[in-house]
Amino acid sequence: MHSNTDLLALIERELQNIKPEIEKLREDTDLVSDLNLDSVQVLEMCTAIEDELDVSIPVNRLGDVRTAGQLIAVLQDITSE
Amino acid sequence: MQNNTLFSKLQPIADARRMLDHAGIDPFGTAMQNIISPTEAVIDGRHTILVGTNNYLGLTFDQEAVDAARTTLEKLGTGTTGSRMANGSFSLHRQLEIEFAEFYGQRDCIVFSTGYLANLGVISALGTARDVIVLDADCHASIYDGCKLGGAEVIRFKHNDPEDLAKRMRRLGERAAQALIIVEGLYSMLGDLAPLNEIAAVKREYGGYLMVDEAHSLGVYGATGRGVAQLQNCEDDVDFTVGTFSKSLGATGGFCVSQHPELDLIRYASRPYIFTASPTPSTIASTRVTLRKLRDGNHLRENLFARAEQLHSGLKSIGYDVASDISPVIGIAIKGKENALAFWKQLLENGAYCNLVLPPATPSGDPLLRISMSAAHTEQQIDQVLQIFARLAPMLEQQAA
Repeated sequence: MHSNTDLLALIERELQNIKPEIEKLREDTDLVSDLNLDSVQVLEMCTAIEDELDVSIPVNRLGDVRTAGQLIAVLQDITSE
Repeated sequence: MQNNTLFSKLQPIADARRMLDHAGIDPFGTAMQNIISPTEAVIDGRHTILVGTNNYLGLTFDQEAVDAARTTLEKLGTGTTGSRMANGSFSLHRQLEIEFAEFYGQRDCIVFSTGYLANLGVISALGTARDVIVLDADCHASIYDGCKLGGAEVIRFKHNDPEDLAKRMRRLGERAAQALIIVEGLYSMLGDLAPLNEIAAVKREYGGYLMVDEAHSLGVYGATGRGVAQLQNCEDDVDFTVGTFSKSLGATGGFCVSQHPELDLIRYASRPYIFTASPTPSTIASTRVTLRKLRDGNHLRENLFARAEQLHSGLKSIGYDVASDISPVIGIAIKGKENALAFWKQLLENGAYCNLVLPPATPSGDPLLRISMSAAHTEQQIDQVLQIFARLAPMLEQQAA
């Protein structure tokens, strides 16, 4: 079980590996429009998070994800299954 | 456009279109005014060498195929006017299925109306809401769309990375044994081959079923042109092979072959098979001819690879950054959309047509010039294409500077 704060910190860390200029991440940060990530970078970020948590995020679950908070909710869901 | 109308989602496309119109470039709507041969056309009134047609074996003007199509057209008419499930199954369709199954040495085959529909039809029937599909991240849109239609859980693994696939299979636990793994033989953007033996080894370790899309490798690889699985000698590990008539076979249509007796049942569960009209009889007739020529086409494959090597090494010696090893698909990444558009336009105005692919359809996020070779290319044509690339090289050097 991971706390939302841990997961937010994890997402922030992995994003900074891809885009060092990214600073503080909030749960309502829009990953695409606020951070200007392209699809290749989103895939890269997801892979890093998946490896860290040793899970796979199904593509179907990513469709509605816009914000960091929504990604955290999906990760909570997957890790509790 | 106003916000939040039915059409407002099209606004980004309208903006992109305006940019192209402004620049006077339309790489996505090039009209071939006349096709002179498998490798030449008239575009904008100019004689143009085609290096972007996927016409790998150059069989679109094969006289025997044209004659078979013409005879069948006159005998059986212009269309079937029905689905395979209703009035659209002619003996010809079944005959081609038998010939495909024999060609692949598999139990059975289903013919679909396009390659896109073959993927949609088989994947959606196999991968339903309770199933899991593990696919290479760079798989074609038709594979992703098939997954969406069937509703399976979809997990991506890193492109051509069997280790990442193994990791994903391990994470599935017991579900891995019934997972459907989907990869392509030759990836159509950069021209790189799948490491099928290593992927098959993962399947042997964790279980699951393997589907290989040989759309771009049919006719191109393997002793009799069956594709990358034949080349890499791992056909026994492949559960389903899908492919298209629209590249090396020079027509339109798609197929799936398999050793599993259940393949025949997929017909009854496949909406893209049931709810669309079957291929026209003339298409089936020409495909029966070109399939035979493909099987016996080692001389075609030899010329295809000789020309691919000529262009590949020529481009490299001029200084182009060619994406993969020698294959009939040659990708050149270009930084910046404007540069890519201007370069593509100059190629066309100098008499060479290839494809321009813009992100998000490219694997890297950069625009890509995509060249595809044909067995019908002559050495002289490829020399001409190389001369054009050499003339235009300064355009990209300026960009790098």
